[in-house]
Amino acid sequence: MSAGPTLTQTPSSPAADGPSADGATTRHDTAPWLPAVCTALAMLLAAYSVSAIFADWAWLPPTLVMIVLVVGSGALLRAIPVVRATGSAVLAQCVLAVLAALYLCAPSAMPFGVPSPGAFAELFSVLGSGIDDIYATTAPAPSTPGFTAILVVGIGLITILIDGLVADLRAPKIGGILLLLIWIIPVFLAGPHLSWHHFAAIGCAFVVLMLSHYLAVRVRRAAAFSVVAGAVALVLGVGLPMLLPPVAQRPQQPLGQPEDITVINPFLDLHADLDQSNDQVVFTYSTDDPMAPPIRLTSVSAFDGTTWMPEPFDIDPFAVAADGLPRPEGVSADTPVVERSAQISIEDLDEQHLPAPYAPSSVDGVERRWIYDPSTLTIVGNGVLSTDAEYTVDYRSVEPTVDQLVEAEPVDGDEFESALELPDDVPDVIHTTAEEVTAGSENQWETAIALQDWFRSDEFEYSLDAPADASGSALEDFLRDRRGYCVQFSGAMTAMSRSLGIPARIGVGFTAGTPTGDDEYEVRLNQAHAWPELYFEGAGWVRFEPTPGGPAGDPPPWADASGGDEGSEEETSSPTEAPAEETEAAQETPPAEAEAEETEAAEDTEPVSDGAPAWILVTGGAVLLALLLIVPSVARIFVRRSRLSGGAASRAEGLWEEIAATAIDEGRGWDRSRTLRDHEQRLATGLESDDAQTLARASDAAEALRYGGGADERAVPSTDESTRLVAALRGTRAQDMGVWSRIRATVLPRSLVQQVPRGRDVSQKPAPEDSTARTDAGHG
Amino acid sequence: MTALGNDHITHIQSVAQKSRAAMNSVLDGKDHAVRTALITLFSGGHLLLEDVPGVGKTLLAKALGRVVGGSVRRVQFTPDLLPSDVVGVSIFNQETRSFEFRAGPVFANVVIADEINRASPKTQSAMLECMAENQASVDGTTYRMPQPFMVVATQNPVDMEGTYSLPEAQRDRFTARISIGYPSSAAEIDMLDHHVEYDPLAQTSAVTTLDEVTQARDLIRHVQASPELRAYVVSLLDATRNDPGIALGSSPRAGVQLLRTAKVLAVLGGRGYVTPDDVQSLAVDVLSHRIVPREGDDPQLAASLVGDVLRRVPVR
Repeated sequence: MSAGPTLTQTPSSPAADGPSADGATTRHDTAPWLPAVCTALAMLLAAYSVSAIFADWAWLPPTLVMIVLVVGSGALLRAIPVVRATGSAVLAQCVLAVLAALYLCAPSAMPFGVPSPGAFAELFSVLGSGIDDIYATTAPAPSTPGFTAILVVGIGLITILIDGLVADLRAPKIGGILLLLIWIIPVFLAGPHLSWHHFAAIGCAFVVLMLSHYLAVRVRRAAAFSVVAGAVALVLGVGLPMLLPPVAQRPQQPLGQPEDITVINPFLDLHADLDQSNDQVVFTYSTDDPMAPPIRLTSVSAFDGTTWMPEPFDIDPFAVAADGLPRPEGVSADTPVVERSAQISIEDLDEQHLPAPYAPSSVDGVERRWIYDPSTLTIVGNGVLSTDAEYTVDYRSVEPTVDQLVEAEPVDGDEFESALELPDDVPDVIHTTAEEVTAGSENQWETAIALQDWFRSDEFEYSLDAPADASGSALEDFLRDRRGYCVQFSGAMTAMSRSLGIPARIGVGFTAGTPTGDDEYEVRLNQAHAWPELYFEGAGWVRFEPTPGGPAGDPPPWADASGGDEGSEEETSSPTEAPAEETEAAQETPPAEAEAEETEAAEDTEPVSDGAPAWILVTGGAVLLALLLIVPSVARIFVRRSRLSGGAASRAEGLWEEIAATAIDEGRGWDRSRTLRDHEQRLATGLESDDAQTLARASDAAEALRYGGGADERAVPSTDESTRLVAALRGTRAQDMGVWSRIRATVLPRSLVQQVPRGRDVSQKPAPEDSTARTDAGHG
Repeated sequence: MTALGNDHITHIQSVAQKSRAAMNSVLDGKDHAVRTALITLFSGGHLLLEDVPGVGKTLLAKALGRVVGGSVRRVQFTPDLLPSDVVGVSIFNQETRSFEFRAGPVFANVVIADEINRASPKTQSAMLECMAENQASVDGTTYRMPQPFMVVATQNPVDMEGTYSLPEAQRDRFTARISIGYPSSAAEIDMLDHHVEYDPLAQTSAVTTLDEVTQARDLIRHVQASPELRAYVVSLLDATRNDPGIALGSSPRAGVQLLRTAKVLAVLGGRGYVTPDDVQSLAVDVLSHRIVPREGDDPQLAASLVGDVLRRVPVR
């Protein structure tokens, strides 16, 4: 008799004989504790990658305690079969972690080792202070209790999640995604300080986590593959960037600040900028101003003995630079003021300050998010950077005469507290030297000129090899060694002026740059500069130029005692430092030293401008959250695609798997005691006839495949048909479901975590013919 | 091994459908009983009809015999019926001076064992031996049953006084137990019209032959039952054994017979392989008389217990 096509082949897959046919799942853990060890190791490595944020290691012990406690307790608890079976270890871990967080972060609230009623309030207040710290500091930051608390609690939480995923759900891949969450912390907060070993640490953490189960079950081949893949990825990730040409270092950024704007402190970058190799053009501009003033970014005046920082100011989002800026502070009506303008085109500068000659009166061509600080006339991006900006600045060039400056009244110290402030720990030598140098000066201008001339004399040498900052002790060294660059020169003159009662601050920006044509200039990164600005009654902030070399040029006319002594013994007043003088020549001496200081002191970085970090955090967080939200649905889409594609056999089974998974997503479950045919008939109601036919073909095919040993490939619905069918099935049921159920089915597809009924594993090869007669033979 | 081709499937299908149609014309509105009876016939099993008198048990059996063109014998079981009354006796023939076997009523293609529960256990067991062995031994000589051979036994669930209800072990030998049930009103009105005037059986003629049935039986054994399907059957049996509401679960023989009947159903559906649907649609008929519920030996309770098992066991 001729054999029927569906009958002669009776595939019998050995694995299908028993319920636990899935060869891979019948594994025996040879070392059940290994996943826990891997998890702990991964978390330690991840914690190491966070270390880039911190300047010290005080945060590490409590974090270690938390990780070890969580993972250790999890491993012990899961050794109890009941706990393991119910997955309740995570609950116990949570309780332990909360207690540990209280002990570690709010010990004062635990008088007898038991949480007092206020313990949680205490913990939350510590966490709150940590958030303030985040806003107020720049990486690397000291590990304050609040900062440490945030890290301990966060790492503890993620450890619990990852441990649960790895140990209970055997889903280390999802755990790996959580590791990325940890990685995001240093990326956002300490990007410039990350180096290859931080990346390597998080990479190794990922690999270790992926390996956890392979190691435990000793699937050697798979383990070897993972190790090789992970190692290759790691080598590429770490190695490739090292082969690439160095990228100009970006300005350091504080972590954020209480306002919604954060500001960088360009003063701190000067040393790095001044490196001769940084010859890329940061911007070009054209102006008809013969004085070629320096192009100012901001000024720093808050000095805590270590770091010079921008003075905090109140952010006013309505102080829009494009609407015009006020007249500079302290400029009287009889001070000569020339209206000028400059067209600036940014080439390679990602700053939160807008470069502009002093004192800008209006800015055309930039977004309205550029706002200004009325006291310093610094223009700050409220969440925008200067990248590629092209704009025209109208500015008031304040050009006081020497006479005016000489006659300026001494300023009233009460009004300029911050510009006169010198911390107590500033070495006396600054004051005593200032007294010596300015002995005999009769007025403020003479004092300033005496200082400037002293710095410009042969006694001082311009050198980038100077000590690293403009702190009190660095200035002391500078006054002894008499070598330095613009940071020290401007810092020293400012500090000495203050010690003599003259309000002073440091202007930061660029020299006028190099002329490239008629009224055209280009400014390179190594032409960054800093200069002192002294306040004169009636003239406002007046720029001086004590730096004798480097990119800095000659002093402005009112400060030129040698040739320009003419007019005056004193130059009064160009209110703000830069307006009047502007020779392109203003070169800067590099004030690099301060840079390191600022990072520590960054707690109150000035809100002068620049909102980027806070915005980055907020938007980054939102984007991350959105990404996390769509992860399940994206994963679901991929699973769907893979189910509905492939060979005829896998498609036939995949379609049913997908149909079942969809039902599970929708929360209606899948009755596994029903046959395919039964399901088909239930599902077919409400379908268009086309789709109903596809569905019937699908069950024919799957049935023939499972029970008949093979389906006619042409009868299996194609990928397109399957996709349409699945969509149609969702459609017929969508109307019965509430909006929330539908959203939930999409955003949180339950089929990703619940077991979906699987058909025959089509990848298995059919065994040789299996005699059905055997069954009958048993009949008695 | 004989292979089963599509043409065979089609042929068996058409034979079965003709038989079914013919029987349906005799028993109005009793399609389920007719279907189960035919499936039992093609699976080589025996049928137990349990119902009140007068609903057509005997008619069903007779119609079955008639459509396959086979001999039909009826034995009315009574308490005084002896095994020899069923199987037959050897009689000494004076002329030939030898013993001669007089075959009893059991030697027929379709044997109607009416009210089998009224006979003594001794007679019942003689009958059941014939069913199980397909042969009878009389005085040391073995006589084979004609093929096909099928017993349709009836039991009257009421009026149980003085009866010997079939014990579980004996019931297990029947492939399926069904009850015919009262006809619907419409069918009953029709019946009053037709059956009063004519003998419904008189209009029924054979639609197939005994050979065809025997051949079909052989072919149907080769219907494919995949490992998944067999595993499903086993898990069903297993579930009856582990069910807290069931005192005695299904025997391995139950599984064999369930699969055999499922194969028949597969062919009737035009398939060369058994699907779980086949198994599910026969499970109640094939399994429920074999299990013993913990509380009361009620056919309906047993049927619902089997139904629960079906709803509980995942299909593979």
